[in-house]
Amino acid sequence: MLVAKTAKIQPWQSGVKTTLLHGATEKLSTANDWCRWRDYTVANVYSSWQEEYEAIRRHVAVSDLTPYPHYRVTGAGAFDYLDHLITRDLSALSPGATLMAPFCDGHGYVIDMMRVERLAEDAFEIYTTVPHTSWLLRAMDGFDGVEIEDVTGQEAIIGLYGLGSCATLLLAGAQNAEKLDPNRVAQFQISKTNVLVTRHRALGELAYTIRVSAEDALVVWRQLLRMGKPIGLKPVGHEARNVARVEAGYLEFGQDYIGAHAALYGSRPRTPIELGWEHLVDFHKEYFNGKRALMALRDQTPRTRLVGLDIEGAVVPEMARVEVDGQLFGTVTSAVWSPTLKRVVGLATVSPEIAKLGSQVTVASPYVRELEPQTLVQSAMVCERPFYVDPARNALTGGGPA
Amino acid sequence: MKLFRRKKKSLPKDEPPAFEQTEILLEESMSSKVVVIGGGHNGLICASYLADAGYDVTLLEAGDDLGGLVAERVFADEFVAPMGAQYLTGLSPKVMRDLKLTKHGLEIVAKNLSVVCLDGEGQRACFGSEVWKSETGLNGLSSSDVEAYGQFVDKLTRYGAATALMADMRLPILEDSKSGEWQTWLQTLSGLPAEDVAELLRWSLSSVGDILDEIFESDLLKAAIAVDALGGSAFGPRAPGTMANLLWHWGLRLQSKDPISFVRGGPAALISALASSAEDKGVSVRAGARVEAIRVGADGVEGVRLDGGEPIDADIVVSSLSPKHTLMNLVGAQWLDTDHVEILKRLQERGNMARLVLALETLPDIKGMEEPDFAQRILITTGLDSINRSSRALKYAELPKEFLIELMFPSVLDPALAPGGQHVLTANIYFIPYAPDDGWQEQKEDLADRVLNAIAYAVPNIRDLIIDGDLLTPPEIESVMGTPGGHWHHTDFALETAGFLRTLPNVRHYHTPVDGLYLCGAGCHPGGGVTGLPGLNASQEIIASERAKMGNARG
Repeated sequence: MLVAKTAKIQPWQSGVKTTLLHGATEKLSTANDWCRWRDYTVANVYSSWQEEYEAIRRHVAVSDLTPYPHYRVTGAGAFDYLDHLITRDLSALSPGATLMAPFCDGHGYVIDMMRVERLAEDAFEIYTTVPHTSWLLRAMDGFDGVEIEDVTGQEAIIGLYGLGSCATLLLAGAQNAEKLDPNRVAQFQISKTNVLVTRHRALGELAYTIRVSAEDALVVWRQLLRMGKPIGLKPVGHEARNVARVEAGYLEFGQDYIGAHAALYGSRPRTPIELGWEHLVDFHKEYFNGKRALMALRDQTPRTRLVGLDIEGAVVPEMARVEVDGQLFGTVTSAVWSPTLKRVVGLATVSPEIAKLGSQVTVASPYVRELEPQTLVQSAMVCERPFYVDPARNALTGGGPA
Repeated sequence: MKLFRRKKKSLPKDEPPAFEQTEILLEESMSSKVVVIGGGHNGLICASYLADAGYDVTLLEAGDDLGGLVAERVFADEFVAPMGAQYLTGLSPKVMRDLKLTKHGLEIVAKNLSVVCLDGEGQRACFGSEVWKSETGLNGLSSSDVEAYGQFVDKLTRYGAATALMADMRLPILEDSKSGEWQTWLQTLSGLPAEDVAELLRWSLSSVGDILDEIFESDLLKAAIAVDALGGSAFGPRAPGTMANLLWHWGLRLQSKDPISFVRGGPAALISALASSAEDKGVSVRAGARVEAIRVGADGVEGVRLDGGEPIDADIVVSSLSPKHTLMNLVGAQWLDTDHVEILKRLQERGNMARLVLALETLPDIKGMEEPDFAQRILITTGLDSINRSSRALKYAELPKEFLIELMFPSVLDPALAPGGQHVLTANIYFIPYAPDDGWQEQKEDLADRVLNAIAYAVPNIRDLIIDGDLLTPPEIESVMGTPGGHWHHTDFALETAGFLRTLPNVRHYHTPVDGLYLCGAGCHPGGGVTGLPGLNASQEIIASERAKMGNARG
């Protein structure tokens, strides 16, 4: 006799959380294709990734970004604390402004990238790719008057991408949204609800991030979807965003590089220089975590370089070897078929000697055919990143780094 | 033994000791201005060597007098009591020679002081060379203890010699896997026969109590030996790793010609001699100049700022203060990597020794004491178990019920320290928490009373002889000495904070992460005690690395 057992879920087994917007996103998902983002489950594809990609590049796209680790840093010492933490000069950040910056450990290895928003003189909000609560607390030693609160998941974070994103905000009722300058954050009203809106660039597009309290999250989300629909707004999942991300040449934590605290081996983490982020390091700054190590490394040839690859054929390689004359020179970490460029492009970590633009390499990806291991060999060329550049869109986002 | 004979040049060949480069350096470093912070013995020694190498050196002392942990205090009008070190553990012979300390008035009146251990009921045991040679040393010991004694001292000397070699060696840092220094370091070990290496490693990781239990029968003898493993440590004789402290102590003793010595005028006389030598070398000393901050810029150290705001510019700043205080308070975390701040933050700097000073009318009668014992280090305890119980109280931030007390009569070694026929008694009370759970306010009187009772057990008439006296708790020692908790190692000394692990494991010894800022105090290798080695080693490292820097700059 079969006995139906109800599985009792233990706290350590019940890792999956739903976001504040799940009630709405669930109904929009016709593909029923979900993926894990840290503790949360979010849509990988809502209907079809190609359609969602088209929305990003041609119309306007909306995404649930609520799982982003999110911290509130306040107090008289907040500025000194954050300025010491990140590689960029925070004094350039006036209240109401935002920037992206890597943060490093004492070896100059990148721990992660963070977006810093300065909401007031002594009030900052930061977003990271993965949680860093422990590191943020440890870095507080010796800094007085700093308070940090982990507010991850407590507010809904909605991303708007594409040329129609500003129009969507206006249609949804956010008056004067067009006056918000690039890399600035300000408060607006959507459906009589106060929301914080940040204008920046993401996926190579004009982008806005909207933050809304838990109780009003669904109201604002639905308002955006309803008002954006006439101009082609679609909810987009992780897969379409990833294609756009690779086209725009952005690195993904854990995919294209490994964070200093995530790496098991000392040789695995990367410096900002190795990741091509020299422009995100202000060496004239008095001090920041890892500055001495980076100063010492500055005149040395980096161990690796992060390059773009233009790969022949229509097959997308996965975690492939980058070779020259059969010798290993690096790894392809991300690759996609670019619908806009009509070719396969990828990001690769390679030895500096083959990092020159125009270097010819081969890409060897292992695969299994009828239970036999095979290797697919494609030729490729080191090319410029980002693969997808639209000067008009860059102008909308204020240009500049990230 | 031959393998362990000290080599004359333990520094790598490309960096010869400072005195051989003096002439080259004179020209190069004339313009370099050095500020040394702290007028203790290590600060003075480092300043003198740097001045001798041609640097323009200013030494800043926060207090009105020099001295640091070797300072003295005059009380009851004419009684002089050393407030920090009761004797000199093992002054480096190189320092003695180079700084011409004898010429500057340093006179050693006694050395190789022994430890006499009394149980208060008339039993005594003694550990140490001088007293041991006399007949009295053997009294009360079993024949097996007498036999084991010689073998033990021989082993201690062999293993200690390996430590002694490390005392002024340029130790490798963990991340520097390429340097030949690791090889040199390992060779100091591999010079020993294989069975000795195994035994040395076993000893290093064991508790001093366990090792002594294996060898000796007499509880008092074990206590007399163990005491040197416990000073400056927060652990009792049953804690693993304490045997390594004893080896280390023994090593520092062996590198000196005058270990465990007493100088005329008391340990503070060393400061007078060093100050006189420093003046000779051209060091300018400023007392009453408390450094409020070390000024740092993007290119490294820029100088210091005194209390009150006066800035002093310097190309090189050397701090003899504790590494934690120097980097966390004077420099500030904003100039350091979080990785380093984390290490500094967890360094333990709480002294755990109280100090009793008494002015006595005459020398007391002590049960079991013999005439020459008054010139030695006198320990009052019943044995390791009692010491262990005492240390256990420290672990729980309580005042101990049983005490480990180490007495000295400095006025026996130098009668000038007390007026005619009268005497000074100083005592270290081990395992006294810096911050007992119930606070010091109400407990200090009680502690003083109980300590006197404990002494009275062995010295019944002690209370009748007291003219004046005081007991200083660790926080009080801190305020007198300016060292955290009056901790004579500045930073707790144990296996995990010794050798190449001392202070910041991945920063070269005596260097700091800040360019041009160096350390030269007891918080550095090879730790506290009056050896002068941190100051000496730091000066050699500074001269060598500043020279290398100039070489690089010149291309």
